[in-house]
Amino acid sequence: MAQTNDPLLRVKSIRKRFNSVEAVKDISLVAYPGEILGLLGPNGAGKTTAIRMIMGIIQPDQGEIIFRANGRFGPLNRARIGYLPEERGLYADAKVLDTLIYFAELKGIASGEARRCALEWLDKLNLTDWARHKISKLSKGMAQKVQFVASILHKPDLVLFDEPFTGLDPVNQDLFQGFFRQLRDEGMAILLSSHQMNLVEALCDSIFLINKGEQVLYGDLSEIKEAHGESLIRLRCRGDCSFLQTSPLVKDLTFSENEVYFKLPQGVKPRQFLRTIPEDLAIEEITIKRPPLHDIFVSTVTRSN
Amino acid sequence: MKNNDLFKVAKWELRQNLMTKQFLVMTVVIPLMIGFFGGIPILIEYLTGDQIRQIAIVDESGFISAELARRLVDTPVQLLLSDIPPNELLLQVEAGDIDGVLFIGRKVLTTNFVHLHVRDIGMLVMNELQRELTSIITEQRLAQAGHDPVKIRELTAEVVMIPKLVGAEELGFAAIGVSIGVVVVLMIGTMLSGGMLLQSVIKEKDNRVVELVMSSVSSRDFMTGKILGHGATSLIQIAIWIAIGLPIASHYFDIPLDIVTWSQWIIYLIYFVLGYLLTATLYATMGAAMKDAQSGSQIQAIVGMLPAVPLFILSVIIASPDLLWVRIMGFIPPFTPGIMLLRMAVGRVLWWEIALSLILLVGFVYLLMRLAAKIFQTGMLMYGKSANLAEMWRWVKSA
Repeated sequence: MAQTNDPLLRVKSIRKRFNSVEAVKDISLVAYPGEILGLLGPNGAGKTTAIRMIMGIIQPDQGEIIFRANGRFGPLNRARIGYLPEERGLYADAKVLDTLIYFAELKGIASGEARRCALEWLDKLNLTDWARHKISKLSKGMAQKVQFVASILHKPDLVLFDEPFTGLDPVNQDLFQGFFRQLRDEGMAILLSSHQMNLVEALCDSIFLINKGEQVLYGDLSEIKEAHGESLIRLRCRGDCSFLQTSPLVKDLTFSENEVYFKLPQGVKPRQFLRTIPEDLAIEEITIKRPPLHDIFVSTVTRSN
Repeated sequence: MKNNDLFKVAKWELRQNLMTKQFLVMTVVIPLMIGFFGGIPILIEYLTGDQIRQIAIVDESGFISAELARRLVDTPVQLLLSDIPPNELLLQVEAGDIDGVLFIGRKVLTTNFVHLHVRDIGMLVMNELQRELTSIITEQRLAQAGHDPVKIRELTAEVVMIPKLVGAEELGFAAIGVSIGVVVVLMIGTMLSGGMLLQSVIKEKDNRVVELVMSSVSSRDFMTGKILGHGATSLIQIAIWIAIGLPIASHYFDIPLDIVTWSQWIIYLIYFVLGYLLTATLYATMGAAMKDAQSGSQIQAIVGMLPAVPLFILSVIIASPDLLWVRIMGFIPPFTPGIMLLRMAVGRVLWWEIALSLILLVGFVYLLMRLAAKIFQTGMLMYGKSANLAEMWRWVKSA
């Protein structure tokens, strides 16, 4: 992970209210170059409002968003950010290449350069033959690829992908994952919002979980997993396993033939448990699984509610 | 950068509009429809008006045919005084040998009826015959009542009014007609492009492309760029209509090409641009506040109709351009462009009226665009329901 010490984006205590509803309450986060930060939250949590503020589409009522461009900190620079919104949409009657050039021009890229880069990306995505077709002629997956290109064509420093995998088949999901890693390795800061926890888990270096407009979880993904999850243990052994039934470090114990399944309560590290295993117990096989992000998400949100 | 974004959006809108079938259809079909339903019959009448029509007359009254023939000399109607039996004359009409037969009964002075049998005949010929017959029969009645028809004719001669503006050239009816035509074209152009803008805004909101655009440009630049792009489309469209329509009118109706002067064009253009900005801003705001094309509220429908009001009272403005309430309406910004343009087309408008109306209009458009940008910013990102006036006002206050 090619992090630098200076964050690319610093969101400081932003708030947003719509009439009587406070959609976002005092959230703060930072994004570093070469990092994929997962923005997670249940429906109606305030995620879209937070994303729109980060993207400069709406302004926060309080707090500030500081962006680093050309080595200096300042207000959000629209030309240096990219955005793939969850609400997909393109100009149906416009041609693919024209559309990409237009969006790149809006980001300050010269027409010729935009055309060259657009054709390069279309080639990577096997869409070269569609460059002069209308968007309305594309399949949903193809249109999604075009939108993806529109969001990164101008080589932004920071890009936000909101539900980028929705509607993609597994092959294209893998393709997009590869692109995301490539962009991260090139030093781009990526904010990834998705409900597909397996993909977030596979891609993100850190996560930010929002619920009811508030930050409920934020940090390095592996540290969060260690700190917030209940590790799943599968133990195959010979000997007396009865200590497990009385151990305070064990919960949800299940016996199945020669195997035992149980969880370590939240906050208990596997090493702590391993130290309590009697020496005369012959362990044939033991697997310790970190809890899936899905479980952490569900339990954290449930607790928060 | 800011203005740059605005013009990039405007350029994109213009380019997209020019490439649509809708633009082609609007630019070609509308003038054709106007020409077809309005101009072509007049043109045909005009072109065929000089054609000599041979009308045979069967005059049982004995006092009409000779006088009518005398009066129709040098007109497109040639009256045939004939002894041929009526049935044969009708056969000749049917065969196309002559254009018609006019039967005048013995008691025409009391019945007041004459019968004209024709296969087809123009309105000009009909009017000519009707006028002369009425005149002859009326004079005959006056003579029978003991009056001198010549004296009566002298005493009841119609007054011919030649309108003249003080300090201006004689106001020709052709000039008035062309000016009204140009003004109506400008107003129709405004309404059409405003409507196209409304559809475009609703479509972008509906397909969510707005999120992508507004992450790149400010909502104000986005809205203004769209308005300018559609305005440029409208100007091109109107220029095409006028460039084609004016020479045609000039050729067939013998109207000089410079009948609308350069100074008039400039004033027309200023009012058109301001009127368009006003209408387009209203429409863009409505589009942003609407869920979809079908869900506009009544208030939105009323707002949308405001710029068209001058067209509804077109006949009043033409008849009496200096009525007090018409002049006052000319200073109410949503009506200013239409009212002032129509008043200028048919009469003389004082310079201070133009200046004051323009100042009020510019100020109103400026304020409206500022308010609209705030509504646009929130409305474009709100999906699933249409906003009412109270909500829009809340957006303005909170933006």
